[in-house]
Amino acid sequence: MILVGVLRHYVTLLLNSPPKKQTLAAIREQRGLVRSQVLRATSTNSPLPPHYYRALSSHLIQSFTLGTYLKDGPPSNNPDAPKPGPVNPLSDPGAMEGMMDGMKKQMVMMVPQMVIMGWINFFFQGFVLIKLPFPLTLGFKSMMQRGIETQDMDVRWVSSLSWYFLNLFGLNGLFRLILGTENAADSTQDMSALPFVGTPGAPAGPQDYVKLFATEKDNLEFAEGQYSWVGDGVERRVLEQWGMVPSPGKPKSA
Amino acid sequence: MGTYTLNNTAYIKLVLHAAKHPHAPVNGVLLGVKSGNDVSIVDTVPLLHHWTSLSPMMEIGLDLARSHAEERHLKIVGYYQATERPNDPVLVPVGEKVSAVIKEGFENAFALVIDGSSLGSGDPALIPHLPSTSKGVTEWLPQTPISGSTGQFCLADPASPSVALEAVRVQGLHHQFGDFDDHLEDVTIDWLRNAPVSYLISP
Amino acid sequence: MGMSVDSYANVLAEYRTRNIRASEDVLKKGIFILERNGLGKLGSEAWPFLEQLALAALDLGRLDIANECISRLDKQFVGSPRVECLQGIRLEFKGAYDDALAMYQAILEVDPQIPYAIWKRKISVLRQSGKIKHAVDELITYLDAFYTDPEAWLELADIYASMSLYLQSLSSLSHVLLLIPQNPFYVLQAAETAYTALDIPLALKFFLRSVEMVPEGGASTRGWYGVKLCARRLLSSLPTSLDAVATSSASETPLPSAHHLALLDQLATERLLAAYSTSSPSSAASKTASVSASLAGSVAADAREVLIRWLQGK
Repeated sequence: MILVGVLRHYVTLLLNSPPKKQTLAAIREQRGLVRSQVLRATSTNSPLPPHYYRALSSHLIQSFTLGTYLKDGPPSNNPDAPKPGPVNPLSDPGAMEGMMDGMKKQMVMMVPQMVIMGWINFFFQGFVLIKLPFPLTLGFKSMMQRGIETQDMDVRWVSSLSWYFLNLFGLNGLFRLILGTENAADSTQDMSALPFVGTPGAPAGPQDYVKLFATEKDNLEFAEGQYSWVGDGVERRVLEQWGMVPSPGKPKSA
Repeated sequence: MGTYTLNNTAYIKLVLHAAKHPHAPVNGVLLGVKSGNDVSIVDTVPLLHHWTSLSPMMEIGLDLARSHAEERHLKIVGYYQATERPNDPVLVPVGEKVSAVIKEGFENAFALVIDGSSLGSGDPALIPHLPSTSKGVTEWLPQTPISGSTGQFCLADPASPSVALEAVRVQGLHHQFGDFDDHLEDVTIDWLRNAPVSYLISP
Repeated sequence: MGMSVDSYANVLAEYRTRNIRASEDVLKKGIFILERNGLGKLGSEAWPFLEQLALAALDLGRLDIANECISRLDKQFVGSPRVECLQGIRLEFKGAYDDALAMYQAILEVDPQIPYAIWKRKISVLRQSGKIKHAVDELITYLDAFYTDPEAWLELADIYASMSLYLQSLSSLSHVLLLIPQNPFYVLQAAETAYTALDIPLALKFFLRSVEMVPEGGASTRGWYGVKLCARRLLSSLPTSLDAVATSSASETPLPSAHHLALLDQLATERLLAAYSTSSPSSAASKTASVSASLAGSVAADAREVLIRWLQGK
């Protein structure tokens, strides 16, 4: 089993496709939204004076309206052109590749697992392999004696199939020692992961930036309505802080 | 033409300032006295290393340094700066502006540009600049680099560069050196005199 | 005591994670580790260590050490962009800017990942070698994609300021303020840039904002000096309105009332005097304490006296 684990680690490494090339235009498109999000984040207490806030806000609104940040340039005004709706993930070769990648990895995880389990079931069905050196309560019976339907056997006896599962989870520590913490042999990974979801950190599906930018434009207009500069009335606040003018919040005391 | 002579203290402090901020275009002013036609520079007051192109702290620093100089019966006689680009020792526009302000208070004002590329070689590594006015426009023109104790611009002690190098490399004095920018973050830093350092370089 | 390869390696690793340059210290400790053949002890940490040491050595002109580090790295990682970047920096150190530029350009064209560190390096070389216009163009293209890099915005602001384009500088800084609104130093930088751009009312607002963020200690002294400078300049021009330059504002920032201005002027004076009176020389206790002990008393008095005259002046 250890050998299978080590083998699996290296097969996964082989299957890992190299990171995809990302064009500057794509990065720009992905990060276009960040600009307005940064601007909006502080709009109710903005560090920017009105002059600069307004300039930036209207510049962004204009860019979103015109689609300046779109990877493929601003959309054409030709009514006959196909509407750039949300892309079908199965027709986008980039997204397709990502999904295949996830599937390949899942396969490497599942296949040896199934082979070994079938093999054990075939040869050792009903065998009792070891006896634990400590007593256990009856509740552990189903966990320790999977595959053996005997009512009155002591829980300390462990069946072959159960022993296999215990090893499956118990070997992770060993793999970590052999292959390092980021190893691909850890079989609990594929147990917890749903098939076809792909690895965490992978880009979540294709985005419809046309729609996102349109929403963001509305958000910006809304934020501009709420805008106030942190510098408004700062002289009064500082003077109050040092007691040079009475602060309106507190009652005047001697 | 009068001569300009830098004494040991003034020279070493200027080098210490540049050595403390090797990546910043540091600047400051030179204090001295004029006797006859000759100017002798006796001390250095370091000003900025953060935002050397911006004027408010420069304005305040200049005012404070001038007031300090008067107290010691000295005058601000010149401006110095290190360069942004090691291969291009020129007086930047801000340097020209500050030098012009100094010139209003002292007729024979001059400016020094520290040549960062030759600073570590034992050269004086200073390029003097003097104003020249033609058709109402004042330009600050580079002069022959300082090469020792002779010439219009010179060092009082030709050994100053090697003493300065030792102060940086062996004694590490630049770590104790503070300018006006440092003083603004911790007012106990003695930027006007740098007394501990002055004491060590000219006991 | 504490002079072991391990303890030094830990300090250097700390510098790396916290992104501290401290070249002199890195060089000193790095040479110590190299001389005691401590490289093997570091394990996989040896490579980032060599990179760090090479950069520090180049910073301080120790080409011998840098060469050793780079050749070791080059043997281990043939053709790695990170090592090539180091080689580029070595070319920069030698003053071969054009060769360095060509090197960075080659990496940028080959590497599909858009190594932004190398891009920024290239921009810095462009600036160093005097191709300012080109550097600004590249920076703008870079920032168009990597908007959230405050370091690059600061660089752009600095280039504009050095070209005396203070309004453009202030626009660049405004992005830094958005990205890092909680850092008082950038507020101060904005204040000083606005002042230099002759937008005194806006400068006053930024200075006030900085002392609102940090009322005492640290950045506050700079802030209070700025408040005093602006308030004095505005007050002197108020009654006559002759000094139109002082009260004009490109950003149309409104002036505080004359009454508030006078109070602010008074408050800044008080705060500055307080900062100079509470400071005790003990915090400045340095290695030369014994030497400076006799001088320390006069230091604060010196600076304070100069300040008092400045506060009374004009």
